[in-house]
Amino acid sequence: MRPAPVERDLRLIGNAGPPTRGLARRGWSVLEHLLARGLVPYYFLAPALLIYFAFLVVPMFTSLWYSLTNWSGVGPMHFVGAANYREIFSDPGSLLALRNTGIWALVMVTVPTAVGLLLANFLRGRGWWKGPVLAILYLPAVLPMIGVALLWGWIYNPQFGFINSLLSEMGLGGLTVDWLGSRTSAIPALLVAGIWVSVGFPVVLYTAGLQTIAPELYEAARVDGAGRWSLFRHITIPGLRQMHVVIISLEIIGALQTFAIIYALTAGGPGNSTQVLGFWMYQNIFSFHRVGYGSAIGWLLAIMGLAVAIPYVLWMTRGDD
Amino acid sequence: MLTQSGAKPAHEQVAAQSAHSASKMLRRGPRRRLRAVIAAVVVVLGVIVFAAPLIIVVVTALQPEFSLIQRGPAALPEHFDLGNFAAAWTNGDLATYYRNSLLILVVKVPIGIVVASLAAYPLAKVRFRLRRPVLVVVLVGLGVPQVITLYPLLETMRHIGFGGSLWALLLPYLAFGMPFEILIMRGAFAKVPLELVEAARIDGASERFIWLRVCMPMVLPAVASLAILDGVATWNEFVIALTLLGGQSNDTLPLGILNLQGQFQTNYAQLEAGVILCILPMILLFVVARKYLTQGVASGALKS
Repeated sequence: MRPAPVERDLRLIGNAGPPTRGLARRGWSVLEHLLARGLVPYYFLAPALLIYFAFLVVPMFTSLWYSLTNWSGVGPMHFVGAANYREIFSDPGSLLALRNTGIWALVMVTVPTAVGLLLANFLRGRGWWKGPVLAILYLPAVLPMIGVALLWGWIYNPQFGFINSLLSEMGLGGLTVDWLGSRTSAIPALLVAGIWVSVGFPVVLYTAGLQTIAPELYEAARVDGAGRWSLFRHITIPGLRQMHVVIISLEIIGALQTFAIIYALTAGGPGNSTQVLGFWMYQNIFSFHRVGYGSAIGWLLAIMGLAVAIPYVLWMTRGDD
Repeated sequence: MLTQSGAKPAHEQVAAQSAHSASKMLRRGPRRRLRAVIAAVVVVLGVIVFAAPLIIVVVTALQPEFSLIQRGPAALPEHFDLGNFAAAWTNGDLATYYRNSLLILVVKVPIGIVVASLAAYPLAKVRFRLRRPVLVVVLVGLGVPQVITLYPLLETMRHIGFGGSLWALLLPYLAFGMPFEILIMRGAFAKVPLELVEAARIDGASERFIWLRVCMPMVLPAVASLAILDGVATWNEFVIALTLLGGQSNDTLPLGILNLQGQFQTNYAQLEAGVILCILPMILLFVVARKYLTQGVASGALKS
């Protein structure tokens, strides 16, 4: 490591910097160089990491600490160990929320993914109408979830909603249901709205993925007499392996964070039947003033999210350094 | 089954058909034409069913309340007018919510992109020991549910004197946007040829110069995509705003629409007009910038 050229020139002039004293001087300049060069990445990272740690990581671990206490938000805070976590598994409300979150994740990871794969395959190739159709499929995903929720709430409205009005007009008045107000129909009704929002994402990603599969693969297989199903099964599906991982991971993470639609349409009801972990946590903290218990519910959700996100991120950054 | 293609098996015809343009398809005998017509009908019906929720809401909002009650939402209305939109805008005080949402958007998105592209640059173009650990820690934030940070964030905002104000949203929005923004910007920087960066380094350019003058100009399409995606996410964000904002005058649009729901409990036509006014900017943005949106989403997913 030699001193930077500029420094050398200054020394030749002889009136700048400390006098050169052999090795000692050289040692300092190595250190300076390391400091200057080696810290550069961290200067670039500093603002982002500062914001990220202060307003995401620190609050996250603060809530982990709260989850080990019986705090109500005011007054004394007592450490209670894992008691809140034990309570989750004996509290019917929490178990229902856990079950519904599981159902939500399961449906979101299967239905939009499968439908998206079929639609992307169908929309493959040229055709002036394919771009607009793809766009319409993706449109719900960019709308504010609260707007989407109220839109579906209107369609499901028991008296004036479109579905019940249509049924009545067709003489099927006996089939009308209070879609969001009955225990049996509320979850399927919410899931339909959820699927409507999430189907566009896999279509867009699979469409991008299909463009990376070499057409020669299909040609070769066709020459060998492979049928349509065979092409789909043995070329399309394996060719989209990366996309499967991305879509499945992100659909699960998205499903775990379900909140706005429940908040706006059912508030977890009727009778907790549409409760999900995110909203149940919110209610426990902000309505029931159980900050400790609510934080434990939240951390159960966070553990599920991280169980997907950590392997996903490790897979995404594989081969990096 | 076999029309003009001789002895070709059926599946081959279908495969060949998908590869050709529509005009070619039409020249191929009546059977083919029939199939094309059936396919077109299925596509049109599918699109109508999928778009039905939006169509229904528009039809609802375009008719006066009495017409809706008399004829029901499943009937085609006889009267159309835009009165509900004007009423929802003024009665619902939507101008305030629009202003708040726009303010936070125009401040948050540029800051987020600058901060994220600063961070993404060394993660893509400089070798240092903690590169992968830093990247993993930041990207894992994609899986952290926002709800778990709400109570501590609320406390923090009260402590630092932002309690209830619109600006309480800025730092949490920046923090939660960071993983996705860094992911996209890092992917974009990774595509800048390394030779270019090395050449600049040999010429003695500082890393700051390389970031700003060499790399940034080459990733402007990614910046545009990211600005749109991030703008959409900011405009639509709900749960953090719900928790941190106090008082209607500070509410962003998603909260404002909820206020409308409370206010117009039985006036569905006005409520749905408000819902349309809430989602309209996103629909317009979508029409204008569809390519950037879908390409941005896809570029975040593909490994660079």
